[in-house]
Amino acid sequence: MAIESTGLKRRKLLAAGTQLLKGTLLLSGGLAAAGLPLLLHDHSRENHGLLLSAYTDINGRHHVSAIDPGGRSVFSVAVPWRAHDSLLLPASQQALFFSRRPGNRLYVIDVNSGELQLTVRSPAGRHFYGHGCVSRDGRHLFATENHIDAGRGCIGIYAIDNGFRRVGEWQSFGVGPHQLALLSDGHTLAVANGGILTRPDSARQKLNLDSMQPSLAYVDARDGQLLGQYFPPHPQQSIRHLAVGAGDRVVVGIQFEGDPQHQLPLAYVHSGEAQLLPLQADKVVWRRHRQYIASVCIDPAGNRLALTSPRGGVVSGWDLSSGELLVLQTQRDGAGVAFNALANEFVVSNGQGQVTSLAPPDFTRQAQRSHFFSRRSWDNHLNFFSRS
Amino acid sequence: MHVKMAAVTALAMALLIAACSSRTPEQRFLQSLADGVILPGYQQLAAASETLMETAQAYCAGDTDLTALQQQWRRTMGAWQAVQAIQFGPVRDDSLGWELQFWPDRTNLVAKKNRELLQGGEALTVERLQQASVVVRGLPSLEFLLFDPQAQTYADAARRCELLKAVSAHIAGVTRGLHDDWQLRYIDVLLNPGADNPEFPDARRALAAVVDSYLSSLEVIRDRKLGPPLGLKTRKQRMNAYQLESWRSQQSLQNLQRNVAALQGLLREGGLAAYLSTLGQQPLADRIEAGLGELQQMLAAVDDSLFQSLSDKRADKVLAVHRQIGPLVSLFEQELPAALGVQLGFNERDGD
Repeated sequence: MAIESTGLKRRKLLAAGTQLLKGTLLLSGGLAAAGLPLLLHDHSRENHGLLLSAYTDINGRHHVSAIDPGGRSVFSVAVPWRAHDSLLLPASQQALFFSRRPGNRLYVIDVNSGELQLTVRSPAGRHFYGHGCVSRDGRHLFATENHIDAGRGCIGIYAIDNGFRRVGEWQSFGVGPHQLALLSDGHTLAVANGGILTRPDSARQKLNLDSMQPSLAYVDARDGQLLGQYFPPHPQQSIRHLAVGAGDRVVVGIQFEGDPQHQLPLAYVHSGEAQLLPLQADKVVWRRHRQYIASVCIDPAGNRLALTSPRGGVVSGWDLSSGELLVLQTQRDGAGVAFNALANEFVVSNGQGQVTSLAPPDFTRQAQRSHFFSRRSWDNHLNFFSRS
Repeated sequence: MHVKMAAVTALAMALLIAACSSRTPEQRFLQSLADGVILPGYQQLAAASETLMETAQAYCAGDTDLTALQQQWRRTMGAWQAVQAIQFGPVRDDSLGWELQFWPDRTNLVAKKNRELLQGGEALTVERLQQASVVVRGLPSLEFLLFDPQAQTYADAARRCELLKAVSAHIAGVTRGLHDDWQLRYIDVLLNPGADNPEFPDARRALAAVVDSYLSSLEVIRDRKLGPPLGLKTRKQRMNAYQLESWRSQQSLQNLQRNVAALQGLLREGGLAAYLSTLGQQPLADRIEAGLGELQQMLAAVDDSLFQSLSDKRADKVLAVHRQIGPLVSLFEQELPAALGVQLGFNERDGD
């Protein structure tokens, strides 16, 4: 359904976008060097889920990986550039990992063989920001990208069943788009425009902290039209991560780039209102998040929300229907959070190698279902997918 | 009976010795850090705060003079500076650093919030204080009351005494709580890393937390305590003595000396130098010690208060101190983690 207009598609097609590297990296050597158990496991029924995350090992090498909820490695593939968020394509059993800014690679892993099938490159003049999502029919991938010369964000569109050929791009309607997600209508993309300008030639340096204009933009995936745009109260409240709950309620997580002493809310909710509504909490609660939300996760029922802050070393759990804070607990260097729908619990990963299950209703740590990978630092995002 | 007791004691001793000797160098380091630095540090802070509260009461009863109270405030601030580098455990879990010290205070909120409280009509109890802004609850608030002549224009002595007593009682309560929480709970978290420990899945992660915490204290000295007052990396590029920590009491320099002494304490009483030595890394320990020693000498060479130096635009020696911190940061950020085989905050220090 999305991106049906082939004329438009072809006009926007960028020659460089067709440059695909087809499985050029054979990684078995690298895998062996990482010294990790890499063979596929026969999954028992209760472990039918997959947790996807990038990680960096104790030697500083980057990997993309999957484990099952029992803590067994499903695959682990060494990759040249640090990866950020991930996706599972259920039909083709492919896991996608986006390199983080200013990387230009998208790694496609065959979940069943555990091998790198394909490395997709963003075209010349674009780089990935680390996040993407898939159209409802599963045919197109939308990835947030930097239009480097224009200094603004765009959404690259890739035809999944055509070897991830890049078939077009839309504007993101802001600078530094980061996470994006599709709403239930199947065509509205919620895009977190972080507002921060970076350029590959100055690495990850933030170039416009005094003139930022972050926003939550709703973009029509069919024609790239801007459907709506909402700005946080303070221009230095960088909107970088978001999650969509039941009823298309969008929760955005903030990374505040202003005066660290100035404490504003670090998460806002939006579902059709004229403005973003702050999640209400005492300043002391927000202070513990140290002006930085790394990941936002909502359970499918849309009742509970988890926010992580590696700088604060905390994960906070919220009742989304009442907007109340349920729990604030120490989670050193915790950044990734996913919801395991089979076990009905949140799973948090951290830079210390821990994967911790937090069960409802009060996010109690489940020691039996928590795992420690002593050689891994789990990167920013964790995702759960049911394989059935 | 006696013999039996002695035998039991001997057995217990033997077990204890066996337990001690079976400990890894990492565990021994964490133990000496806890026993040599953390627990005594928080104990001294709690004791100084208790005395501060008592001195405030005595002062308000007319039993002692302002100088004695100011002196005790200085001791308490010094004790707080000595543990400021310990940014893990209860102080972080409960955001208690803010309770003890709201700083930096770029817009002089301390004066503003104190004024509101002093000029309001309500009784100034500890309970009232807990509903007030965190700005008025800590040591800078007391510093304002004790050292800033402006405080006297806001309220009479009796009213100021109400606030003095409430704030000092609050600080005594917070610091007692910190010490208790370390003793009764958190010490076990730090000393018993393991897969089931929610904070430290192994000893290396605990080491990383310690290094990260002390590294942060160096960064705070460079980027907050010295950089902005010196006008470095600020928009106006102008020196501003009012951006110094503890400028009202002119204790900024002594604060830094306590901070650096705490870093030296990490190596000595805290056992980091000994631990590095067991790893064959004595030269690194020596380099860190030398760098810190030199920093102390440079601080001692600043012949006036920082406030005076910056007010008079005589900042050469202070700038030299600032420059000295960069290489120390590198030692803590690069070489120390490498030598210990640990990785510092992966997502914390490099997120996206």
